[in-house]
Amino acid sequence: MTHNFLNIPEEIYLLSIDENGNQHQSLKNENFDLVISAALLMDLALLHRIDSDQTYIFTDKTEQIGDILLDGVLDEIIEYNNNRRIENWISYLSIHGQFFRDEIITSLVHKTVLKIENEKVLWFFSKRKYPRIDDTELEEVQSRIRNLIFGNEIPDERDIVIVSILYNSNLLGTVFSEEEITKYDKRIVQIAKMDFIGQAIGSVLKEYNISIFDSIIKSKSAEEMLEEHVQSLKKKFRVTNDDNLPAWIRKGTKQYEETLKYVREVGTAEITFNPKLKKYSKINYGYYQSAFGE
Amino acid sequence: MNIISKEIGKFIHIKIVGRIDTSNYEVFSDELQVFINEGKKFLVLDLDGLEYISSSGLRIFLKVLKALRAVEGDVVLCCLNNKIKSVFEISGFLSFFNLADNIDSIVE
Repeated sequence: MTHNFLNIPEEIYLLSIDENGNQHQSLKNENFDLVISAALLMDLALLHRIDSDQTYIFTDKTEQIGDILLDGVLDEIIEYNNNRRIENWISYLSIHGQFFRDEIITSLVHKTVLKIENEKVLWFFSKRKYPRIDDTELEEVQSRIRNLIFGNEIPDERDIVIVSILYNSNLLGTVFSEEEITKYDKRIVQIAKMDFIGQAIGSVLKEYNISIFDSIIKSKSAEEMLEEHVQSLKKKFRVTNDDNLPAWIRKGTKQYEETLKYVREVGTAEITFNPKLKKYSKINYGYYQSAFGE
Repeated sequence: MNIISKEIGKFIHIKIVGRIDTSNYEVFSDELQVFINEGKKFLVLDLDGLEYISSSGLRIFLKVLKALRAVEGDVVLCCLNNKIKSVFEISGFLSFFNLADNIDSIVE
């Protein structure tokens, strides 16, 4: 049994990796940092170190647990000594994401759940991987959660937390097939919403992914990037008359349209153009100096 | 938090007044545990006077329900005020409990 052997973040990490130790696509980087921050808070709640309502997290008991991650988070909450919204705690703690990830892996290696494998890439680069030693712990978590969802038992608090995380971070596929998710949707949703911190994961992830989407949407167009770049070049090389600009960055020329196409393709205007080879490439200020006659 | 209890037939009618929060959820848990230890299987939790409940409090409701259903007993939530009903609804806890508008409807 993984109960009390693995903590909640460790169980979630195990569910999030494939047989090679690679993380599920939707849980990479910042998304995982947010999920694992919430998992730590949920574990602290199960251990009666924090309490919450629909909005805020409060300190409960302050005794240390003996777990480097949980105690670290608990210390931060105690030190803050004020009410903070659940979403804000999740976002705030996620700045320690890399540390959380490293500690979870270290702990799982120590508990002989994961092993260390050094992989050679291109003969000379070495890449470290942390695959599962076997599937015992993973299967235990999966079967516990599957039995809960397929049955009609009253869930225990630990399983509520796991289901809530899986549902709110789009990780149900690590335990259920598509058909099962559809068939048992009502029961999954019913249990997933039984934890307020779990509920907050969904809104934090949504907000985070919307902000990324917004930053993409609000990013500069190729025209804006190129215009900005041309202006900086004009300033740098003291060009006051646009007629003195090379054709590829001079508006109204056919080559300028080609330049815009290339900027759109590569997503940056930090480029240059070789008129002899008729080829765009990375920026080379030496070329500009000769092009502008400096 | 104040707890006033009364035995009505096979039911224990438990009126909870005030808040169940970080400061007293353990007291609440202990009080309910006394009834379970005495072998009482049917608890009616009257929530008309409950003003606030935190996650720790909600978990105790679930723990007690689980314990009593395991021995063919039950917990009925009675007289929920709108505020508390909303918390139970949003948290999904409501769907696990039998509900009653008033104590008479249970006892009859």
